[in-house]
Amino acid sequence: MKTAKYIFLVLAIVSLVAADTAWSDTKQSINSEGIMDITDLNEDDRIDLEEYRHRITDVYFFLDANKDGKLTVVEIQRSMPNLDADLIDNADVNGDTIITIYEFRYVLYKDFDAMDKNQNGSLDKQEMKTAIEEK
Amino acid sequence: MSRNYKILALLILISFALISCEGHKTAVGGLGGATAGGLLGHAFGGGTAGIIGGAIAGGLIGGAIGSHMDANDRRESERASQQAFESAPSGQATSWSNPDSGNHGSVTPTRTFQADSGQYCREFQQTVVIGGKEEQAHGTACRQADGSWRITD
Repeated sequence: MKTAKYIFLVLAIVSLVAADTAWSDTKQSINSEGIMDITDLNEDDRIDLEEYRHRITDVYFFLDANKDGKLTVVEIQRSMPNLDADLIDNADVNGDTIITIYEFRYVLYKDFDAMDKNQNGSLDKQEMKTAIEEK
Repeated sequence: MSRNYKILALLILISFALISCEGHKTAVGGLGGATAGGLLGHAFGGGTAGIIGGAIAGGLIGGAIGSHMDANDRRESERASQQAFESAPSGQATSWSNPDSGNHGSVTPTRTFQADSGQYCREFQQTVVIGGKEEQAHGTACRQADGSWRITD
């Protein structure tokens, strides 16, 4: 009877861990639909530069854990541990270990230009899909 | 000067050149589409507010409608506002309701920005339905050092 209790306990723990992992994977999954939903404020199925800037600023605000107005690589990694630290560090243009909102915008504007394949000043679903699939 | 000294001097010069370049990235590229997409699409927010139940300094809804909000309406509205400012992405509404009075409403941050001081501010839109009548307002709230939010406009 005691062994059965242990087996039940182990199974319960395994189930909880599996469920938590599945939930986390779902939450972390990034797809173009999700990005459009949250960034395309006027719902015209395109992300223009103004909507992109709004979202960048929101992201900066949420990444800045201590809300001191400055962002560090550590803060970014705390929220998004899977992001490549070297790439994020690239945003620190002047190398002072702090990524200001201006530095953050600067590198992400470059990404906007790179993602905007047809150079029409906005990102559609296909351009966003292509971008996030790039390595 | 012997050849060895020349080579040593050259190596020292190269070292200084490399050190002086460090910290000044002359050709900064983007983060890459996958990283940018990861940042844009990450599900931020949803956590608890910085100060649970903290008072929102400044009135959100004034006028005749606002004066009909009871203490519980105001408490629920302030709680929702605090949570919206602290945790909700722009464009996402945070709702409140008071089952006793039947009054309800929502707060939606519409834009986030940093003041020159580095202080975070968020423009917002608020809707309240009091006694069946709806009123809308918009304004700006800025985050204080203690984590509370103050209506500034």
